[in-house]
Amino acid sequence: MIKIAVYGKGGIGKSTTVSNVAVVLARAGLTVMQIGCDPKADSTVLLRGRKQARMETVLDLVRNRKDDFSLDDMVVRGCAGVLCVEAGGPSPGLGCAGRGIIAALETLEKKGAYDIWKPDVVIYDVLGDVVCGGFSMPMRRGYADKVFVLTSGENMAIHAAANIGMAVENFKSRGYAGLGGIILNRRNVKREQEKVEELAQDLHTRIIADLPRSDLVPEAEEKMMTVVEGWPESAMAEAYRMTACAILQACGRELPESLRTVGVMEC
Amino acid sequence: MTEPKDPDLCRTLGKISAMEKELNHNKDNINMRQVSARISTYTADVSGVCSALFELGGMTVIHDPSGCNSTYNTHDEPRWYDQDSLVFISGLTQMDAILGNDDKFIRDIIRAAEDLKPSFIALVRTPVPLLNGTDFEGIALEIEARTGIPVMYFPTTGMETYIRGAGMALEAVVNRIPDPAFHGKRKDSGQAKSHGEKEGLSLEKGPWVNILGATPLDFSIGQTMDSLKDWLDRRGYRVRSCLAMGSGPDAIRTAGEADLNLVISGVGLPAARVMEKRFGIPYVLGFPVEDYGRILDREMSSLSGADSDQAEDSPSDDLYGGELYDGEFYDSEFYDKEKSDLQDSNLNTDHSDRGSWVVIGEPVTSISLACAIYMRTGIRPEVISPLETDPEILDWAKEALNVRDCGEEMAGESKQGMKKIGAGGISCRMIQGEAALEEALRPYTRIIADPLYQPICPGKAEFISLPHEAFSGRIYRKQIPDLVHAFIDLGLKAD
Repeated sequence: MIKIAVYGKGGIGKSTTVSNVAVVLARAGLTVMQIGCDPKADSTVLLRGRKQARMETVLDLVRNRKDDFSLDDMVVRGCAGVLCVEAGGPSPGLGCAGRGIIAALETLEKKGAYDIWKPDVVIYDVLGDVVCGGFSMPMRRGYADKVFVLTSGENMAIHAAANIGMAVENFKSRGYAGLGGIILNRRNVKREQEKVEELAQDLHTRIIADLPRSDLVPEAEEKMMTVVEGWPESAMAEAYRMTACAILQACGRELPESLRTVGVMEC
Repeated sequence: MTEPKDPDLCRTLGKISAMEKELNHNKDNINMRQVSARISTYTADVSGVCSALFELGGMTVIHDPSGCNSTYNTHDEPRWYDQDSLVFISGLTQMDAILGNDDKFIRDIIRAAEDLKPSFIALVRTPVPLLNGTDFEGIALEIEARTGIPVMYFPTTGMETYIRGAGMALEAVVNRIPDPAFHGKRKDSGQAKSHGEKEGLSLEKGPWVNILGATPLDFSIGQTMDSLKDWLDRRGYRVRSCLAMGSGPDAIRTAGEADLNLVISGVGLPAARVMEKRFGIPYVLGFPVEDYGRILDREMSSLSGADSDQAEDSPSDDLYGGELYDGEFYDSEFYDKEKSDLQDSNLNTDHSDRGSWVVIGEPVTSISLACAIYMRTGIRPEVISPLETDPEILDWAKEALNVRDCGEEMAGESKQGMKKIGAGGISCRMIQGEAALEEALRPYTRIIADPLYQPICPGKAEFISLPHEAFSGRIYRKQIPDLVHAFIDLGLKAD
């Protein structure tokens, strides 16, 4: 089982990217579980589409049913059979969102999510920056093996990425996940490549994938679907496939048969 | 009552009176589940961990501002002033919690450990770091890596009882003791042995036994543990280690070499399971309260391959010679022998008017006491456990009065497969919360429990005091009975 956590500045495209990667991996025959770690519970919307637009989050279930719910109640099967989970959170403006993430992930584990579903790949899609202990939960021991940081060349995104990289470095002695690499999600700002390469150097890592800016992304979002599902032949879909390959390779895994022919980049 | 003259005292008494009225009002109007307004509460899991580890040479650090530690040393730890142990609090502050000052916590522990050189470090969680989501597992790894000292983390909440806390502490300890198979002291470890076929037993000197689940919270610091060891000694058992009272770290390290584990409280059960899995050591549940020791001895000798007849006062076959009473088994021979004594005692031996009895308390000792009462009188008390009670203990209760059939017709079967005959067992229910307990106690005519249960006992019921350190702390410590000889101390024999 590969467990990865994807971090990055809010609005940088984490959920869109991991949803596309999840579909690629699922289509390649892997059992994929995507866990949204954000109180807004919007990580898996592209996977669930319009038909399953509403789903109960883990914390909704805890709130409404205490312990009287099953693993199946927490999981919705989305596009390509990706197992969609949303941690959820407290009422907006109240409670503690970070602690909510901890509680949700502990509940998932307690209900046997990893043992029963036996996913080949678990993706934690984590809200924004590592703002508190709760949001570092997915990188704690026993959760993700590798952390991937998604960033553009925008300064704010780079600052957030640097912060995340620092957290990963700080927690090395606690056996936390290591940094798997940077995924560059282009916004076409000036010196984008150069700035992100500099960041990678500072964090002693490398850019493992390069996602171009594409109009298909907002179009797919409008239709509540992934690009790889709606436009599988597009260059953007190919970029997502290459990102999926790069993630597997960064985790030291062999590529599934159907992904071995993907792209010509250093995948 | 005379009104005090001190105006402050008058005001305080007035406030107490108002609070009592409010509590009574609430009691009548609200189902106060999980609220203890008139009875005490059991020692919490945090103190349970500290109690279980107190004598093992480690350094226990409670991560909290201070409350848990003062509760522990003031109310839950009778050894605090007489025995040295390294129990600390972190002194967690509000800003530490807000700012996530894990570094300070780690630095303080490392500094103390370098100075004191404990054999292990135990980190104990309390409500503040629980709510804060402190990453104890990561912190434990970091301290272990930096000091080279084994670090254990206990995910206590401060909201469960000592049974869970002390249970997880002993479980962690036996998970880390060496496997004697690596030292050639025991073969085929890791697999449960066929009883009587174990390797390396020195039966000519009697089997080695570990006592599991001993803490002052259940057995205080009086005579009980000495009497238990004496009881084992008289039956030819040798105590390898006692987890965790009276055995130093060296004895604990060799616990894996024992032939049998005796689980004397619910605290010891998780450790017993680990040792059965790791070393193939079988275990027996029960405490030798009075006559119940004879059934326990039979069970222990059956599993350890020892000869129970070597016991000085062990009856040979009279356990099987009992008569059916109301379709059930009890020890009529013993009963007849003691009948004249009992008629003079405060035990009600008139079977037509025996009423219903209940024992409230820690389940293993309470069930053992209920069995002993049954064996002596034919009266079968029920047991109410207000503590976390493992389903295995509830199952054991149903058969606690049965003995293994050693008849010739069973000779072809392994001892493990022998059927059990006898009087069945004791009804044991787990009931928690003051309101539920009060309701459950209504039908009973005789209640054996800690004195602090008295406020919720029905007025018509006779109350027999059985103080329990984990419930009433030091208040009644001097009256805590020697459980091996409980009848005299409980006033259940002749007045």
